[in-house]
Amino acid sequence: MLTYRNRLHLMAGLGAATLFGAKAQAASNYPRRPIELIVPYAPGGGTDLLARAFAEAAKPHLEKAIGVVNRTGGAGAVGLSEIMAARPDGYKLGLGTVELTMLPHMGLVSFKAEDFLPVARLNADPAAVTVKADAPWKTLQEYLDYAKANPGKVRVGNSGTGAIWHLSTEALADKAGVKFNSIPYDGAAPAVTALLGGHIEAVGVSPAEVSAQVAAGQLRILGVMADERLAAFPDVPTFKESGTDISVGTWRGIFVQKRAPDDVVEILREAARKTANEQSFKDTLKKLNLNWAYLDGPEFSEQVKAQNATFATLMKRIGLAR
Amino acid sequence: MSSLPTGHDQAAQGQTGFDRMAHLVIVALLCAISAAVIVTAWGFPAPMLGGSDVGAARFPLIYAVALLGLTAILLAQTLAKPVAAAVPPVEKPHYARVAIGMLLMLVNLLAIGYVGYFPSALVLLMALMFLMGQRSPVWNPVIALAVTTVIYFLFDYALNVPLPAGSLFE
Amino acid sequence: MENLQLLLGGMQTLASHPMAILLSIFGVAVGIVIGALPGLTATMGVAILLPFTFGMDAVSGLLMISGVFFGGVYGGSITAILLKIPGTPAAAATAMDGYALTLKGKAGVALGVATLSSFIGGTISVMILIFLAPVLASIALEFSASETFALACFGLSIIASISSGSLVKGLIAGFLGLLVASIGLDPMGGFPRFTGGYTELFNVPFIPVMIGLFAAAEAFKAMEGSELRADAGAKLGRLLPNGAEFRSIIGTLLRSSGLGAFIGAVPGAGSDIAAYVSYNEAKRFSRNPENFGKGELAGISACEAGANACTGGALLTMMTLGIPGDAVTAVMMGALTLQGLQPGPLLFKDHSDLVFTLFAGMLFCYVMLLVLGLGSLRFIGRVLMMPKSVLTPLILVLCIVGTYAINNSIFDIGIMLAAGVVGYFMQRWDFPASPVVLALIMGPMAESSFRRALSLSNGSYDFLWTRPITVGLLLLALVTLLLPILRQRRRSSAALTQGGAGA
Repeated sequence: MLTYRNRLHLMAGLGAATLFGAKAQAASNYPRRPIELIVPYAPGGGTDLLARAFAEAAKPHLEKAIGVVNRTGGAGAVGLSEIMAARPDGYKLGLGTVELTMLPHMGLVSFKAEDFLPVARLNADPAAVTVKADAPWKTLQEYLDYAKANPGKVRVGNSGTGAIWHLSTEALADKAGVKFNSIPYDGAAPAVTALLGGHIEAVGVSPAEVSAQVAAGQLRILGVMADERLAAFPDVPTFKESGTDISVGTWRGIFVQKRAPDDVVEILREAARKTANEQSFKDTLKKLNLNWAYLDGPEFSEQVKAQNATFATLMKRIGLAR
Repeated sequence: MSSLPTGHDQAAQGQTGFDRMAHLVIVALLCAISAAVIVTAWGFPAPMLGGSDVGAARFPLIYAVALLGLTAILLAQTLAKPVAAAVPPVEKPHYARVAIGMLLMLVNLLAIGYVGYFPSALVLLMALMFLMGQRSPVWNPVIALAVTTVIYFLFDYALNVPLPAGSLFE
Repeated sequence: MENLQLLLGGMQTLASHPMAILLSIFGVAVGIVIGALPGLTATMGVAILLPFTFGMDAVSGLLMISGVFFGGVYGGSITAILLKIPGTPAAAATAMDGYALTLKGKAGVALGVATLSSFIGGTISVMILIFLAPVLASIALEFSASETFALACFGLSIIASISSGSLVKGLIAGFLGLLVASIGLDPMGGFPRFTGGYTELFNVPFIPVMIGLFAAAEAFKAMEGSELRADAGAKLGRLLPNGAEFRSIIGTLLRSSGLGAFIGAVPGAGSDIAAYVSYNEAKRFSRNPENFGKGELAGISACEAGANACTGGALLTMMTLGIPGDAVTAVMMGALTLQGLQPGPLLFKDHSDLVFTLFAGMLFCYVMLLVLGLGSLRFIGRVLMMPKSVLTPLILVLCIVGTYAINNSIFDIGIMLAAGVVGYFMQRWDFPASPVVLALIMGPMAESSFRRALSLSNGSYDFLWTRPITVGLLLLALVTLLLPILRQRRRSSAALTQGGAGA
């Protein structure tokens, strides 16, 4: 009493078993069955919506459909662990985020950033410093001067201890030689709420997460931690411009288990490149306020490696690494 | 709420020897849990944020100490209550059946990862129906098959929740 | 009055939009089914339907999603009342009195009152959303970590009032729940507590525990009985409450709707908290509080009105501030942005026509919820006619599948099963299960907001007594906790004198 799909799995399993050790052979007509895309976060969030948009846009570029599976829990640790432990056959992809270079340093998980093979980066968003519109600081310099004069007085909300927006705040503190009072919230939205209510002085989340309130004149972005100004916020200076050389942000991309066969990775890279360049995919990202930032596997890999090293030192210095 | 002779109304008058024993076991279990929590929480790291945080251990410790206090009250209440002779129930509950039911669920839990949802649910349904006295050789498989199929399609296709396929078939 | 005109205009627009009407009916129906199934939540339903809205116009897509949201909150009550399987955490509160009524053969009126209360609570909350949005939004912003902590304390104190039977056992169950709630990553430092190294335990396994404690435990208990082949025999009875019954719940309905809408607007608080708080207040104001937990219609009415009234409150902060209050509204916010509508302060100004068409549609969704609910109850109620020997296995399989569906995790099924076994023994020795659920909802909220408040005040405990809302809520918590203790003491001393006289 097998269902259609189970029968497919069974056939694939038997096929792989008979072709003993023939790694490339098994992959020659990849993909032969639907591919799973593991999303380590809850349905409806930015990462999930990005994954679903990708799966939708990938339809013309892969012979079989991509199905999105949410494996939530542990700030992404559960889903990422599953990708790491997956059978290296290319039928289980993962939507990895910057957290995969951070969680390992906190000693919480059994994987390392090197356990994942980057296929393509889809999106990248820089960190920013946002304050209330009626806050006394008009520029980044005034803000940092105030923070220097009043160590520990400026309360900066982030999306959770050890999350990227926490690290961006700590990286800034480290670079500018100031001390903030970092307040973790359960995600970016509650932190922005607290800022609107005047319970904290600033938030360190991405510009997209405060864009509605900025447009309404309730909040003001003082600066973004990017190399160049953002197209969506041309008036907001970068940190580099105002003399603090810092560039921190999140990214989201497609990963596979590092032992996946090379030809499978090739097929996926090609498909991801075509998918990311679909106009419909770009449009969806724009609507979602996500910054389109495609990067091919090898270059993406370099970035992940570099960031992993940066976070390792930073997290050790601020006492997050265990 | 419960038709068993342990309802609150009875408890106010007295308890059977068996109930008293059970409550003492519960007290012991609760003490063990509290103690384990306290010992584990002792090893948690000191607060990271300095003086402005109470650390990871504080709340579990408070809960565990409160639980210990409540357990002491429960112990006192249990010991204070007079022991009455057991009233023979009209019919003895089928505890063996409950135990088998739990065991079947456990077997299903262990099997589902290997054989997947479909076969495991099918067997579980038939076994549980048999256990509960539904013994028709024709209807049991038919009902089980129908229910398993409906749930499978409802979740896998209509609701987009892929049910476990089983690692043996992957 | 400007809003009223806009609303009437919205109704006209909606009337000329048959597709949107059809899709909202579809959404409500899907929502009810999803809500009724254990483990499937409104969040999941909304997320599943989200991709289908990409190709729709804004009104149709959003109304379909609103329908799922509303239906999902209501649907949980059906299985909670009939089978003691709460489809949602809020419905665990409804199950207390609802299932008691089913055991008395009055499932029909319990379901009818639940449906009616959902409809009224939801409608009132949409009305509040339309006319009072700015006021409520500004109050919601006043809630910082210390107020949230006080609200959580108030919520926890309700354990005392839902512990039917022994207060000590209720509190023990509550503190056990609090310990379970502290499993996982510590909310401030991110340190893994009591996880035994399992990443699956990094988050509190909340819904599996709830499904186990209620549904699986009840199924195990059903195996004890002997009349396995006989029909459950429970009759549905009439659906609608009679005049006297309706008069007895009308005050509860209005109070719970107001409470629900307010709690929904508070960041981080949702329909589960609203249901329990409304229940507690209904009991406090009731003339016969001892009836609660034994099949009191006002109890059902309070939970359902409170839980459904939350929808308007949760939508309110999302639409006016651009900040989603819970997971469902977060997904809905994604839907709005995908339609090119940026939720936030400018939404009402720039797209008022569309916003008020949506409001009109939401009111329509609630009317459909009433129609579909009442229309299908007779049919759904037939589940009671199934022989137990089929129903119980079916419930257990649904527990497994529903638990798996939350995180696609077999590990969670194990947690559910463990909770089911513990729950079976708990009810055998009269430890109530509701306090555990309440503790699981409030525990993480209490701890994280307390520690956040402490950080916000730089380590000073001043926030506990210097902020008026905090102080008010904490006092309310104290009263709620002490009231049943005093009541029990009085009762037991009365019983003692009586017993003494008898002997």
